Amino acid sequence: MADAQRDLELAAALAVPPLDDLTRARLVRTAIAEHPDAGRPDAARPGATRPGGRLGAALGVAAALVIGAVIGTLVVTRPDDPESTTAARAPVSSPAPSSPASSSPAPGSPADAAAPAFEPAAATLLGDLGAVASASALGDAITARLEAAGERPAAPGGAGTADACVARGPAAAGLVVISAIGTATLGTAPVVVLVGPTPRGENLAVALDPASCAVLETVTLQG
Amino acid sequence: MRDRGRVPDRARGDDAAAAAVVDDASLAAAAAAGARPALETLLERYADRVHAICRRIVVNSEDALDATQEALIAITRGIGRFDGRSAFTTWLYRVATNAALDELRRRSRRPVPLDATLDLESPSGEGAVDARLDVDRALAEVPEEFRTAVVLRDLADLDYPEIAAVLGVPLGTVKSRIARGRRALRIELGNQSAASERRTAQNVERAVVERADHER
Repeated sequence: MADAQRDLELAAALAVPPLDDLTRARLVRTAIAEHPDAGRPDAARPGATRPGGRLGAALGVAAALVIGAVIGTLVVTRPDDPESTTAARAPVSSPAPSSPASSSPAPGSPADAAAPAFEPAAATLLGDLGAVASASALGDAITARLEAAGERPAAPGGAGTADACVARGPAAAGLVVISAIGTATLGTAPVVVLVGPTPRGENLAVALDPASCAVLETVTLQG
Repeated sequence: MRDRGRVPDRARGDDAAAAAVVDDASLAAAAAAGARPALETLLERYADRVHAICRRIVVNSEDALDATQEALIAITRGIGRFDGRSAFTTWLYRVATNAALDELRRRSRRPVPLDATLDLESPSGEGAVDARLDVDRALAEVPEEFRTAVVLRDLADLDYPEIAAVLGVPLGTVKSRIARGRRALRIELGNQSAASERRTAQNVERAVVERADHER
């Protein structure tokens, strides 16, 4: 008991005040700049070559074709749905706002091999947002599409879980939940778009490489 | 985790707090998969704790900031290799500890007097400042290997097996280093406290003399 008390006294003596916000932000920003993606000036730009070079690009094209096939399947299988044309253009069905802890892959494991499939549930299907030149343009397109859709949730289930990026769960994109899903062409690169709140409360849109699910670009949405 | 920089940690049973945020394991997995927002969240979540460990191991505040920066960069570069076999915090503290020890080694190659490595230029007389300087002076007198073990136990709140994993030494060595480090630190803190009281008394005496001279 006496030892425990002494431990607490030492802990109190050793306590260090938190960093001020500016210093913390500077330290984090500098560290993030060392990220392998951030180190290359063209890494975050649309059409940039990811690690893996041409193979990655080829996989991206293949993934785009798979997504196209899924879209086609949805169009065919949902003829009675008046929203089917728009909804089916989304690459996947809706993910659940379930606990990220239970849905994301275990650290170090191959996410799409060992992780449990992400549970589909209600989310807004944005469909194909078309070609956009920049991240900010992508944000504008998403905002416009959300407003047009009235953020109407889509029906749960469907073929959406085929999309590897959604199946990885929101945490894989740095989100708490996935509230909307879509596709776009960012510059010349096909991307999967996931939208949702971050742990810090921002409403973030994340553009992912369809093949590797690596984050290509993020944009904070207003409102 | 007992100090002010504590963050929710599901692994330690803080379920209510952890429920409000994405847990470390999920964020680490996302960051390892290349999600920069997840990595940024982790770095922001743990920057204070990394800094606290570096601050107490390195002792000097400027060097501690350098070590913190190196640790955060090492985390950024190494997160892709984090395999999840240990808790994320154990891996993080290992990185932070290594960064701090590297900083100490770099500093040891610079011929700098001991007092110059501490923040002794701060004005005395403020109780909190004096107390902080006392802790720094005391820590500086404790051998590095003991100091590191005590910091990981009493500041980072790691248990003995975690500290053994971080330092790469046997459990018995960890227990021995902590016991000896605590003993040395308490002795030094006592000495520094006495020294601080002497400095305060000298400051008061000097102020009284100066005031008397001024009134004369």
